[in-house]
Amino acid sequence: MALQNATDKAARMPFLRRTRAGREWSSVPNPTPALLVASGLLLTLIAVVCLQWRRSYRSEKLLRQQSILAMEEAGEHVHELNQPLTAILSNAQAGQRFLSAEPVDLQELRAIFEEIVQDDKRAASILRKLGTSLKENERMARSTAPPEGTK
Amino acid sequence: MSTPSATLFIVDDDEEVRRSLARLLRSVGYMTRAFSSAADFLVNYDSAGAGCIILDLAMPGLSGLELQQCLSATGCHRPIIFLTGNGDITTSVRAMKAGAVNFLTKPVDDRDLFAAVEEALAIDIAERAAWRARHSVYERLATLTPRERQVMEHVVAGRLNKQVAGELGTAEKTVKVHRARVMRKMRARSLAELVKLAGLVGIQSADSSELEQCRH
Repeated sequence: MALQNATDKAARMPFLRRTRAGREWSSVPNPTPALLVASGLLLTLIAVVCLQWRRSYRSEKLLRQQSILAMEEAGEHVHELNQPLTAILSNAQAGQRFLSAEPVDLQELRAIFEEIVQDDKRAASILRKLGTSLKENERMARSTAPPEGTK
Repeated sequence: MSTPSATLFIVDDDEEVRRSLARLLRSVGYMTRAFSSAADFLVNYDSAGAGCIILDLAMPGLSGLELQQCLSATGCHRPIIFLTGNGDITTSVRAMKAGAVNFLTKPVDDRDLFAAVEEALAIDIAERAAWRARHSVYERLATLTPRERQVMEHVVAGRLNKQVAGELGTAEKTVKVHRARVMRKMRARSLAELVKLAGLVGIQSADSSELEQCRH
């Protein structure tokens, strides 16, 4: 009968343990205050982690967008560079033809040299802009990349 | 060079590119006219003279491709050479399909440019000659009476005088008279020549098997 009672109790309260002396004690501490504090801490922790993650995701997205913009700008500069290069090549080749004609048209040659100088300067300024946007892009790429050793 | 009367129309939004290309083409004797935009070209170009267009693909406002569409919509089929900064395949395919003669990438070498210009001018000359030939056939066609026109269509389709007479409900002799007038007015010395003239203006001739049947 006593054995029967004990098994019933064990089934109802699985955390209940009994010392040899017959004192009963629970293997789980009284849940109410400790559990509340612990779950509260856990929830706060999760919320903080989520907020942090969202913030870093947003800033990463922003950086990525800025990086794409910088790349597009660099592409435009590369494209833009074609204009002075075209003008320089055409002017130089026109100059070669004018030189082989008799009499040499000095006025044309003077204009050609003037324009080649201008277009060269223009190409150089586009290259400077290209360098700046590439540097900017590299800086952003470095700030979005995960730190060493995290992978 | 080969066609001194031809004018090369340069359309590019970049002033230095425009000026240098014009100078390069001038250095070998071409006549050039430069335009700073598609709109500028559409308003000011002379559509009657011979020549070709050297067109920048990427321009603010109307792009090169849009200008090409605009020109072909208004019936101007002057050959176009496209100049572009980046050799984008899809765009070049679209341009070539719409009738561009060539697609050159900037910066362009003078030999490539001259070769493309020569080709475009040759096409322009051929197209103008074809247009003149068609125009003169239309002029001759306009002098035919409605009956003569009917007889001509039947004859070109490979029918015998007797068949034509049956079809039109007249005497064979009358058809013969009409036919002789058609030949004279169209200035055709033979049936083959008449068929060729009709073909130029899209009047259907009989296919070869039908002609064979008529001969037997």
